[in-house]
Amino acid sequence: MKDPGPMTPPHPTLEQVLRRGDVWRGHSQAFVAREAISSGFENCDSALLNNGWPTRSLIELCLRYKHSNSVFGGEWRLFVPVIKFICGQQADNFVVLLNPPATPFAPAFIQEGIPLNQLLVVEANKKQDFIASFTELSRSSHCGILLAWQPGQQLSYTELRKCQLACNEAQGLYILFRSHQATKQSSPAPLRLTITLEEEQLKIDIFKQRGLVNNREFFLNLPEHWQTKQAPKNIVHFPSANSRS
Amino acid sequence: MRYHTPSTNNKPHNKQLWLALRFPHLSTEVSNFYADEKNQNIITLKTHAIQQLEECCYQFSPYIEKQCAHKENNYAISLELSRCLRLFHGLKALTTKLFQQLECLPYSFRFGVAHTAPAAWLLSMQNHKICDSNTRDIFLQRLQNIPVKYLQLPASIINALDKTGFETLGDIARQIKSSSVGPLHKRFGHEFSEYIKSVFDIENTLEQQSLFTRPTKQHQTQKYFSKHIQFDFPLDNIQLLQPAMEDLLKKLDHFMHKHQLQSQHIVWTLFDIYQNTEKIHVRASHGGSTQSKPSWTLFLDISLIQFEHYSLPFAVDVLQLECHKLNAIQASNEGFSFDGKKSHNNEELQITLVKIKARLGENAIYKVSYQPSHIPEDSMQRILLGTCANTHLPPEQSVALRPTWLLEKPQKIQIKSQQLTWCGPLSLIEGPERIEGYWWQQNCARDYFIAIRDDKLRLWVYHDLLDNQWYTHGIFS
Repeated sequence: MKDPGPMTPPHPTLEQVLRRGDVWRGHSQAFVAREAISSGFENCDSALLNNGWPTRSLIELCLRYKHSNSVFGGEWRLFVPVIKFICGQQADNFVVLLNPPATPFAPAFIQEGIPLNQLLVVEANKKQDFIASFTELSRSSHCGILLAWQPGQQLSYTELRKCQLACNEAQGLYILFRSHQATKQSSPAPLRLTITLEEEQLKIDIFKQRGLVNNREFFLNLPEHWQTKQAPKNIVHFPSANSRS
Repeated sequence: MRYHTPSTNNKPHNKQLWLALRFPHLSTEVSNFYADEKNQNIITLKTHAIQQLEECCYQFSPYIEKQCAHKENNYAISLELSRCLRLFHGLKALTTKLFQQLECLPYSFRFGVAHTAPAAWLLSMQNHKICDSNTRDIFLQRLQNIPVKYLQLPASIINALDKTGFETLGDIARQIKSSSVGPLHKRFGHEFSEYIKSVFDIENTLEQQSLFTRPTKQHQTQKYFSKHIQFDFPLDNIQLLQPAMEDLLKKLDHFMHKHQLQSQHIVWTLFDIYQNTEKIHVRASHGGSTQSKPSWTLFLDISLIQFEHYSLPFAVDVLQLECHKLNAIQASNEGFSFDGKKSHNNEELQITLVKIKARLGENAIYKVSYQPSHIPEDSMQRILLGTCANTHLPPEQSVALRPTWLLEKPQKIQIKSQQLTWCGPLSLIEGPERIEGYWWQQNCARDYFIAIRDDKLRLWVYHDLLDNQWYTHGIFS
């Protein structure tokens, strides 16, 4: 047998391969027991492996928009309970909003019970800055939850892989919001979902989940004040009347 | 009185021994040519030279005072040596070692030894050998021959002395001996009498004189770091600069550690072979070493992040690292920990944020805070990370429906076929909520509604009652 020489790295053993968190192991859930944090919604938890959002993983959430310039889709509602839970665990756990599509409106956050002193906003519009910031933040153990909105340019598989590897290094929740077009693209994220706003519900479709091969779908009810009612009748000035009095 | 060693003389400590080092040609020596004293470069070079000289002297005595002549640009350093003689085995041995070191520097100097600093400066005008047996009387004797024009006094006083017939210090000493300092004080003023008293070490007739003796100042070494590396050949690649940057930062770290200092600001200066320069400022809001990493690694990381965004304007021949803003190290308090875990006070997150700031700028990271106002855009503000956010909502705001996101500027809604349209047709589902106020500034009257777009997105829209226009202001997410 030929001597491989001192420079050739030894072949990894099966045990070493299995020790890696990002190796897909078929549909057997027994092998993929990972830490997870309850989403705060019963039907969401039951759709997710380990009954919650997986920590130390990249969670990719694709927003289904009708309008290409829209960057919102009810995604925030899905994470409010887990944000509150993480902030409540420790005072030095931070929620970081990376590249949010608009300014977080402080009164709404206070109403939701999210502590503003644990909320940081980072603006990184360029793709390279976004990736660098994402990897830096996800490596920090004080970043309890990172919610990142992909910048204008699409992220490549390699760039997503970088983000995924950085997520493996700490203990938090890492969520990347992308446009619906990204569902057609391959991604190394272990959990991928689409979210669609409907009349009275939020439809969530899990189309990739490490450890499961079947798609899962669930619905969340929208808040009462979001429900469609008859248009207010006391709008005397709509659409063109001058209401100056 | 003999100035030998404290053990051989039991004189009180206020009997001092001063060595004055005068550098008469410092300005020209630092620039190698005739120097314009007001030239900024010459001033900087001179400052560096003075720091170098003081650091050299600091090895022999911690009591260092600067002196500058009134008329000339003579720079002088005075060292109080009486408390350092035992360590260096006497005055002669000490000065021999000191002069050997000073001769290694490119600055010529004159010296004088006396019982007071101004007297030593005056005696540096004459050449006297240094020996361990010099006494106060000998110094006073030598001062007799010093012409009055050398006194460190304003020209008006020197002229007045000259006109009165005082040619040497000896003339003044004789006048004092015959009729004390009082008449001279009346004639030539307070400044003159104080100076003469300090030259001759004339004590006031006070009880407990030592209480009124000016204490000798301890020299504080200049808090400044500057080192450079010259490359074998000019480098045009930032990656090649990295080992040199590491080396310089380690030297800075060693310097700060040695002097118990910390800094949050460093300056890289790049030089090319034609002496073109480029300065890059690196700031870190976190200056000290962390528990896991020394401070130089943080500076290296931030510097590399800044260099990443930077294309070298020329091939770099010399890389210089300077640190001017050095502060005494701040002791950090460690909180009690009952669970056995060490508290890191968000140190790790702070470092992460410092790195992100270096990449994105100071304003790219912020917190949001509530501020009391009826007008939605005024009811929140962006605040710095270190600032505490206001989270107290008044009762009426606590129940009002507010969107998650507020648009930077309200976006105009179009009306198409009697239908509100903003990236799709809108229908109003909740409202109105009248918000008005600030009539004394810019009047504001709006009716806010929740609207649903055709893609089911809920928007916060308002009808401006003043300009009769509809706007989208926020988004419920």
